[in-house]
Amino acid sequence: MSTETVAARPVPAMPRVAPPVDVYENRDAVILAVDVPGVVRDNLTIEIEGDELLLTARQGELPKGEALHLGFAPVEFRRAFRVPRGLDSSNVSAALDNGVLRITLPKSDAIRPRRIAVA
Amino acid sequence: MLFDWYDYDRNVSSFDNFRRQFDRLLSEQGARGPAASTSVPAANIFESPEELTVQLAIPGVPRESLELELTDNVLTITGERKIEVPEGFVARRRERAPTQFRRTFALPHPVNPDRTQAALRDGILTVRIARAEPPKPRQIDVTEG
Repeated sequence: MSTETVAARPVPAMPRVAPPVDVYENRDAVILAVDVPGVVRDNLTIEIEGDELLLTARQGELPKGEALHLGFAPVEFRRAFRVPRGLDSSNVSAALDNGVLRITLPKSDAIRPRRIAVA
Repeated sequence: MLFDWYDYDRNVSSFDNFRRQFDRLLSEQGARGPAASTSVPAANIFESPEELTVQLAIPGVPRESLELELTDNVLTITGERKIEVPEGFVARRRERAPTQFRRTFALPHPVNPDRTQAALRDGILTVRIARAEPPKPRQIDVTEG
């Protein structure tokens, strides 16, 4: 009996695009706002390893039918950030709304501005 | 007294350095650069025997700002998004552009404007327009005389 191995068909490589990002800051947190149109939550990952935050997001499939014009084929959005020291990367939260991803990185207590009472 | 011990400038430059490194890495892998934020959103158009589908990538454009018009087989879509810094925050980097757009599409087939559906989902507007049924052939009697 032959033991032929059938390799899983590789997922076709999607073109990679670095999505545009805004960075906002206040005394408590840093927010990254990222445009990722066509991405649902299940196709989005945010990985934090060491001081690197890696965002990967895949657009959904195209509608059926023959494409007469393709201005945006499905792409993989991918962008990495160095998480500055002082951000609490264990408490990151993210929300996806109408194609815009907001990642909130709270500042750790050590770097929050604090008032020190002078005795 | 208020001490601000947070040294952000150094951190911002580390964002920048990393961005440069990452962009270089991307370009080595043959990826495209940052998606340009232009005032003309990217569009897809598909056809099937039953319908035409027009898609626009418009992340962050609120539904209320969208206007669609279909006249004489021309579809016009206008919309707008403002970029607002969250209250109490300061912008440290701004790559996302506010947009105010108007796109018109001359549809390649006759359509039935009464059967049009538009949905905004995950920052993509999808407009589905039924194609008009082809006119039925008419039999013409030949009269004598």
